[in-house]
Amino acid sequence: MMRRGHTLNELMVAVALTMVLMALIFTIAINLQGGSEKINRKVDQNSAAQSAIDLIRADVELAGHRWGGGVVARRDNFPGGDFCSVDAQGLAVEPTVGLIPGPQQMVVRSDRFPTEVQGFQVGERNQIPDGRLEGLDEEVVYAFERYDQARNLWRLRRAYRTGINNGWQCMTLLENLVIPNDGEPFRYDVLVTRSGQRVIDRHLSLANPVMQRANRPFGGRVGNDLFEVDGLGGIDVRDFDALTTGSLLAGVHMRFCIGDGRDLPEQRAYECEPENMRNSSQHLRLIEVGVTTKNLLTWRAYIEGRQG
Amino acid sequence: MNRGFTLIEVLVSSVVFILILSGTLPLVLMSANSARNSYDMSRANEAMTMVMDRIVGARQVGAKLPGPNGSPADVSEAPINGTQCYYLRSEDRRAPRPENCSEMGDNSLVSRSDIDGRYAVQWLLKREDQMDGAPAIDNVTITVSWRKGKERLRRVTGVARVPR
Repeated sequence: MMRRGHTLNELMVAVALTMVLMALIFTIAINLQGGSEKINRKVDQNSAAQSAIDLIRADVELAGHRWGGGVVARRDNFPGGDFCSVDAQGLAVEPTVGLIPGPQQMVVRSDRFPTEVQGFQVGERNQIPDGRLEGLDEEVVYAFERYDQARNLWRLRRAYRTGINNGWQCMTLLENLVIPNDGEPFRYDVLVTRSGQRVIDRHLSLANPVMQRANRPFGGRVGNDLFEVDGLGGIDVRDFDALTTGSLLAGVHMRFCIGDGRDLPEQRAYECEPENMRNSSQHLRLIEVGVTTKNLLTWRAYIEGRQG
Repeated sequence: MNRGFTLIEVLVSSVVFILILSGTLPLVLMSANSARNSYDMSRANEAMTMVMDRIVGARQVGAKLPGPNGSPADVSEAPINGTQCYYLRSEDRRAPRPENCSEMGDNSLVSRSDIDGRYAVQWLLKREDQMDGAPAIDNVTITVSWRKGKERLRRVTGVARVPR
């Protein structure tokens, strides 16, 4: 007699196997989904970081070589909660064109257009920047702002206005950032004359010694790499003032880590050590880029604008 | 007449199904690999652009870029004849050392704290000899390389002509 169907035991084994098989399929599907999400997230991080860097690069290059920084205010870890309420009085007024450095904040003022636009013809007078900010120019503030104290997560924000009397417009460029433990996502390359030769000192940290200083993520003040300028010995405010009156900025070096904001085990704070990423927290990627100032035209126009 | 499947048939079909699903895993790995390559490539491009811009920028303002302890006086200076090659070594032990090229420690042009330790930066300098009239122009070839996997060496290269 031919057998029809299965015994109860066989069916139970078959059902159990089917369940195991389904579990395997679900596991694989979930892993596939998780893997592709992770990949997409990293690609998105790269794209966002690259876009932000390109924006900063354009602003720094247009701002030219001039740098200053006599009275940069960082009230309550400026810009604080209401980033768009940038107080113009709190920012240095000099240089009118150029770059004001800070350890976690950078202001770039580019003189992109003449005050008065007169038909565009190549080589025509008044079509070059006029060295003044009153015209159709741009002032941009980049600032790293900590939004999650416990996890040490920061965002990069940008505020800009097209002229002193116009309002600020604000945006958040990147989130889930971790600035280096030394508190210096921005470091500066400064052109100096030494022994009669022009050389470039790189990676200077220029915390403001006059106003409120910036803090490192885990306590302590950001260092200041001011160097002896006035010839009186020591490093003091007079050196800082001397630096603001005639030095040239050769570039900006940016470095920060970018993550996906997931909680670390035991709710630990994120740490970023660019010099040795093995000491950094998991799931972080280092973004590190050097931007060189280029716009000599702006610099020359500024010199002409202020009559030497 | 036999209706339904035997245990062996169920097991065999399960194994075949799992094998087929497992076959999609390499696709995910390929995708992850391409994302990593894209990240490495974009950072290498940034490093190359940075070195190129620094040479151009220094020439614009007449600045020298001295080597470690001031020697050589300018690591971006092209020799009168022939070529001069320098490189900043990768911290990856597997990365090969370029031939006929002088190793340079941290210097004013580029240092280890500028870029990830995996990358090596090589710059080749020569006076421009492909243009009529012997113009005062130097030719700089910059190569950023890194070791990918066990054997593969990847690199990006850029060439700039800069005023002397």
